[in-house]
Amino acid sequence: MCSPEEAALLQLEEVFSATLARISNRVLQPLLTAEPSDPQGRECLRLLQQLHGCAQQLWEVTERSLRALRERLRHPDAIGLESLLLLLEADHVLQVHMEYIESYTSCVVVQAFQKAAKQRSRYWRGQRKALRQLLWGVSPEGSMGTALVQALRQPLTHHVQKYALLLLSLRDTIGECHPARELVVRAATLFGDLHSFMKQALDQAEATQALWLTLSSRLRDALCTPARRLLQDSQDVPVTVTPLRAERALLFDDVLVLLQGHSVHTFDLKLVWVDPEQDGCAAHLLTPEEEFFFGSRSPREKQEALERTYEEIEATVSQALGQEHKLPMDDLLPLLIYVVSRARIQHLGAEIHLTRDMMDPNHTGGRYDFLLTALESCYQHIQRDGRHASTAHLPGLQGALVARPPLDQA
Amino acid sequence: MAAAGGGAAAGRAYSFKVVLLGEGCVGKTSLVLRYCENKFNDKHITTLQASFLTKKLNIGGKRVNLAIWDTAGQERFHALGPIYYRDSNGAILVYDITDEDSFQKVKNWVKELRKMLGNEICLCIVGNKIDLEKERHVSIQEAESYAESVGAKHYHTSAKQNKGIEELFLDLCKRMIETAQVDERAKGNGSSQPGAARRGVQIIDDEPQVQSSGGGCCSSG
Repeated sequence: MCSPEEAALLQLEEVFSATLARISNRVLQPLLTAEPSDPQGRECLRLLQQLHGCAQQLWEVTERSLRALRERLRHPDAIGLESLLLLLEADHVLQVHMEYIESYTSCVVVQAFQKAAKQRSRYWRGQRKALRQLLWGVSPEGSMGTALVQALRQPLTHHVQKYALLLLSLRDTIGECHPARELVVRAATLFGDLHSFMKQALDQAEATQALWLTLSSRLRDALCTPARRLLQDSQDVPVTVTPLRAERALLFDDVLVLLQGHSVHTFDLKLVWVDPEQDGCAAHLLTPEEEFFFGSRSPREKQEALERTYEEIEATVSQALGQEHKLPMDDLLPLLIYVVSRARIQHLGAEIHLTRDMMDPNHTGGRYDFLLTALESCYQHIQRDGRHASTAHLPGLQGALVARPPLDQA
Repeated sequence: MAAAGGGAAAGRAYSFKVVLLGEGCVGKTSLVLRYCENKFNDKHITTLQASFLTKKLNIGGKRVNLAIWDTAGQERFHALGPIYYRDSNGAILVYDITDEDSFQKVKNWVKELRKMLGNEICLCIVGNKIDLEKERHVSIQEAESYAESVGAKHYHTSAKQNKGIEELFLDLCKRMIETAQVDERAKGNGSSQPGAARRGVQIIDDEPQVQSSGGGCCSSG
């Protein structure tokens, strides 16, 4: 007997095989006709050729899997479940997928689709409508290069996700003593891993590609390679670097890069020794050329900064009113929102999140928790009514206090 | 839940978080200021003494650390409520007896709190400004029967004349202790590390589960 999962797998492979054929004919082959004049263009072309090769292999393996599924569904009693290519040659199928994903993400990172599509922009403009009918995920707007990136991405992610789900479901339906059980369990694990790998690879490629777009062309030329992936950017995880000066630190999968103005320091990760400091907020980095510290403000320092802010607000208000004034939340919150929005704190959401995660559980419900919660509520409020909230309601410190309750009617 | 509420073990103090909710001019801040000042009357100046207050109590030999969180009453900040009341052990919902509208707001808060936090939070509905009895617009009977219907206690206070405030807090603390004790017993005595259990990593099994027998999250009081 055949399970519904096997029928679903058959259908999945049929669709994917057809999609791959269309991608090859309608996207990759036309892209390969570009005739680049510069080295960068030639590199893109080489990557696209490689991708075409990987796509071909993927199509072949899909076809073989399809044939095995068809055979099995035609003679379910004579041909066992274990004859499915997905189970029998799970490692090979996995390998082909990984090569395709790696090749695709390399093209994404260096913007190979965009560059090649630009070469024959008139041709691609005429193709957009036809492609939209043939391939899922081609957007009607935006650059054609980006549309092509999506045209390859959507079928791939859908396919891998479905693989993982159907194999899991197959694992759950077949009996404990089924002869193919072990194979199914193994394949379900492998393709679950593939799904995670794919998601990570795609996210990293996207982040890396986006990073290149924000850097100057000189920096990009110096740092961009098809295989390099961005792991962390100091714009997302605020750190300070001492004694070297760096306005931005970029951690790639092979190098650490410190940027300061026009100067670029690159450190090969193989030659970087990291020594975490005891407080967990800093790290000592040793390289053959340099020695420096990575640090973030400690949660303790952040707490103190927060307390000083509240003190300052209360002192300012008392000064303005000429008498000591205790601020209930009705007054404090609008003022705090004003101060926080004016302070333009970078990565405020991430900072709050991180500080809270680092908070000593014993502080829960206490003063520090309260301070942080008030800051968090400011952040949410500013986010919520964005442009209006920050300044429009607030005529100024004094105005906010003199006519109480002034802020509702504003 | 019962956040820091753990610790019936001898010697350890209960820590309770109480959130203060109510419209702008109902006098919720004066109420708490009155309560905390009266007892200590200390001249030491610290910040936040009108928006975050703490008080140490000893109730029947049990030590209690009370943290009272003020909230902004303006309607446009209503949506921020959940950030403040999460993990609260108690809530004091204040209205002005001369202002029907403020009582309506309290009802809205009750509905929201019961929906979000269930029955674990002790609710106090407080009709403030009883010194203005002549201008009363919210009937005593209506308020009390409403409180009863939602499992809350009702109190009459005057921050101006310092009436009913001690009782309110004392009563609330006793109820929170009871809730914490019930909670502790339910958990068993083994792991009563305060706080520690709450933060940390939680692993949630997302395998399809069999529907559990009712109860769930939707049981509003």
